[in-house]
Amino acid sequence: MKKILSILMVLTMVFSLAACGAKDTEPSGGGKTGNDKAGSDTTGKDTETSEPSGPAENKGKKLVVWTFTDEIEKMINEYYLRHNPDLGYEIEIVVIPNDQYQQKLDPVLGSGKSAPDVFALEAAFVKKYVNSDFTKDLKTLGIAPKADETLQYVLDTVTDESGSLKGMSWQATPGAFFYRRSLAKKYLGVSEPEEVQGLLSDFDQFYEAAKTVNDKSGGETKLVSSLGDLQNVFLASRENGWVVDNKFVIDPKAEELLEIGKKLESEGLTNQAEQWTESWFASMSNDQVMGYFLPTWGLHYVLKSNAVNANTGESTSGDWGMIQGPSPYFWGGTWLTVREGTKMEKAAVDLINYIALNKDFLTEYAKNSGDFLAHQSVVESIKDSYSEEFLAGQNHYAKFAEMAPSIDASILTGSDLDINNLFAEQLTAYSKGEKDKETALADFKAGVQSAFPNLDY
Amino acid sequence: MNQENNVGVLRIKKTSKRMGKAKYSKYGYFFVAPFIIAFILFQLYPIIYTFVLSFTDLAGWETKLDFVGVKNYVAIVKNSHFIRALQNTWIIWVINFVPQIAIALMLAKWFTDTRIKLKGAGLFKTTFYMPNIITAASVAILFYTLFSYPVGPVNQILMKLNVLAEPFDFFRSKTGTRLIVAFIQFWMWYGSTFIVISAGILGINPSLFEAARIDGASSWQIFKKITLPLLRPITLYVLITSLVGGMQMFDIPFLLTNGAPDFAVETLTMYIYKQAFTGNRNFYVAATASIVLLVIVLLISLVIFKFMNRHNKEGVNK
Repeated sequence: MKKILSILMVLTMVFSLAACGAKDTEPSGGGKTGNDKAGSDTTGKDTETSEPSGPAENKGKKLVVWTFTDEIEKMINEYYLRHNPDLGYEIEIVVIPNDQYQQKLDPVLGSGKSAPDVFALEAAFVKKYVNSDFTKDLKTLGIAPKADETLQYVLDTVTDESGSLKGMSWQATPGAFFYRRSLAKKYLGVSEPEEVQGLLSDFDQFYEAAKTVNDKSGGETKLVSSLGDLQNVFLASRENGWVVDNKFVIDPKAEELLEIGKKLESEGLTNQAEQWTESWFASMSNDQVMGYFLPTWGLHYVLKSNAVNANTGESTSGDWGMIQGPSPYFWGGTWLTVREGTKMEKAAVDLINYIALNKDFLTEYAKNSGDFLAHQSVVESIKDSYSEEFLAGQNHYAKFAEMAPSIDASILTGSDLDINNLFAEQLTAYSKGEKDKETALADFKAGVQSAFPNLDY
Repeated sequence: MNQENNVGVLRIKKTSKRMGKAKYSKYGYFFVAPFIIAFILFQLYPIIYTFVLSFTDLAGWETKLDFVGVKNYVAIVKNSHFIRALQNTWIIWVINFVPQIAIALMLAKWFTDTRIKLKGAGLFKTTFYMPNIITAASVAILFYTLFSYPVGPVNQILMKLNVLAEPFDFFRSKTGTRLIVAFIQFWMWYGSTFIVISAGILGINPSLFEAARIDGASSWQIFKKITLPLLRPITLYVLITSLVGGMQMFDIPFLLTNGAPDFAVETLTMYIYKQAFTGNRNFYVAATASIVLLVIVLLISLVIFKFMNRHNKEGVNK
C-alpha cells in the first residue's frame, strides 16, 4: 500500500512538474500545437487539390528561418514584410553565429523537432547539406531560375550529385583587394586602381610591394594585416578541393601559401593581427595596414562599418580603392534552402522566390545596400549607375560584374570549414618558424584524419 | 497543478487516519523525487547511452547503431590526439592545483589563527572568492585581451619595465598559453578552496589549539601537528573535487584560444566536444573518450581515497 501510494505521489509530482515546465519554457509557442491542429483542419481539404509539382499548402502558422548573418533578417523585415503585409502567418528569424551554426542545425535536422523551415547555408559548409536528405529539391517546388539569369556557379554550388537544385542565393561573391589610396601614393608612388593593379598583379609582385611598403614606412605600415587574409585567396585558386572522391587532397596551392606565408612572416611584413580580431578591424581606420582582401560583402559589412577611428573620430571613407589583386578568388556566399518535411512549403518557396528571383526586390535591395547580385539581368541593368563614394567614386559594381563570371566554385566541399581551420593553425605555426614544412603538413593531415576518419588518405 | 496536488494531500490524510498514526517518512519520497527523476533522465540515461555508443560506429547523421565490439577502445589508446589531450589536461591541472592548495592552506591558516586576528577578514574572503563569480567567458576574453600580441597591456608593461625587448606572443608559446590557462584556473578557484579549508579548520575543536599553545607549541608546530592531520578529510574532498573538475576543464581553454597553439591547451573534454560536434561528428570516438575519462577519474579517486583513509586510521590508532 505504502509503495503504491508513494509511486502515485511521484507520478503526480512528475505530471505537475511537466505541466509547469511546458508552460514555462514555451511562452512564445504557447498555443503552437493547438494552432497546428487548427491550421491543418481548416486547410486540409485545400491541400488535396494542389498540383503535385507545386509546393504543398502551408500547414503551420509560422515560418521559421535560420540564418547566421543579419542580412536575411533585414531583407525579410525591411522588404519582404513591407511588400507582403497580409501574409497570414508569422516569420520567425533565428540568427545563430557562424561558429555554432552547424552544431545547432545538425541535431534539429536529425530529429526534425523545432527545425527551421528555411535555413541559410554558407559556402564553407553548403555542400554538406546539399548532398544530404534534409534539403528539398527546389525544382519540384516550382523555383525555376533561368540559366542565363542566375550565375552558373551560384547554381552549381547548390546542385547535388544527382543534379537536383537544393538551394538558391541572391548574391555572388567575387573577391577583390581593397587598398588605401593615400598610403599607396605615399609608399608605392601610385594611387589609381589601374596603376596599383600593375604593381600587384601576381604574388611575386605582391611580396615585393609588401617589402617596399614596410621599408619605406619604417615598419609603421604593412601591406596586409595577417596571413589569414591570404588564405581565402590561395584556397579559392586551388585546382582540387580538400576532398576529391572521398579522398583527402592537399593541393599545391596550399603549399604555395605556406611558402609565401613564411616569407612574409619571417621578414615582418604583416601586421600580426588575425582576421576578425579587434586590431584587424582597428587598422581599417588607422594607417597600420594598407590593404585587405575582401569580397563583395566585405566592402559594405566590414570596411564601411569600421572606417571611423574610435580615437580620433576621423574616417578613412573616400580613401579606398578596389582592384582584383594578385589572383581572382571568391569568398563566402549565402544560400537559402528548404527543409525536407517542412509544413510551410508554400511560404518557404514564396520567400526564396522573392529573395533570389524577384527583380523589383533585387533592384531595390542592390541599390540600397550595394550588395552584389547573382541575378545577371538585374546586374546588367544597374551596374553602370554606381559611383561608390567610399571608393572615391570608383564603380565597384561594374568591376565585380567583370569578375563574377570567372568564378569556379567546384572546389567547395562540405568539410571546408573544419579543414580550413585546421590548415590555418598549421599555416601560422609554420610561418612563425615553430615547425618545419614537413611536420606542419603531417600535423595538418593527422588533424584532418582525426576529425574525418571516414575519408581515404 | 494545484488540483493534482490537492488530490495527493487528500490521499495522504485518508491513509494516515486508517493507519492510526502520522507517518512522515513517505514525504521523503516526495521530496527526493524531483532529483531522482532529473538524475535518471539527464545523467544516468546519458551515461548508459554513452556507454552503449562507445561500442558502436555511430557518426554524422547516421541513426542506426551498428555494434563493433571493443574496437573503439583499442583505437583510442593508440590515438595520438587523444593521448595529447590527456597529457595537456594533466599538465594544466597539476600546475594549477599545487599553488592553489598551497596558497589556500596558507590563507586559511592566517585567517583562522586566533593569535593573529586579521582585520577585515570578511572583505578579504569576498575578494578572494570574487573571480569565481565572474563567468568563464568574460574571464577568457579579459585574459585574451591582456596578453594579446603585439600591443596588449601585459606586453606593453613588460616592455616599459625593460623585462622584454620585443613583444612576446604568449598565445603562440605552448608553455605560455598553458601557464595562462593554469593561472586562470588557479585564480578562479583558490578562493573557493580557501573557504572550504577555513571551514574545515574552524571545525577542529579549539581546545586542541589552546592546549597546544599552553604547552608552548609554536604557530608552525600547531599547524603541522594539529591542523594538517585533522584537515585530512577536507583536503581529500578538495583534492577529489578539484581533480574531477580539472579533468573536465573546458570553458577557459576553449574560449581563450580553442586549443591553439598547436593544440597545447586542447583538453580531454575539448577533444570530446570537437569529435562529437565538429568535423565528421564522430559520436563513437567522443563516447569512447568520455568513458575512458570516467574510468580514469574513478580509478584515481578510489586510489586517493584508499590511500588517505588508511592514513586516517593509522592516525587514530596512534
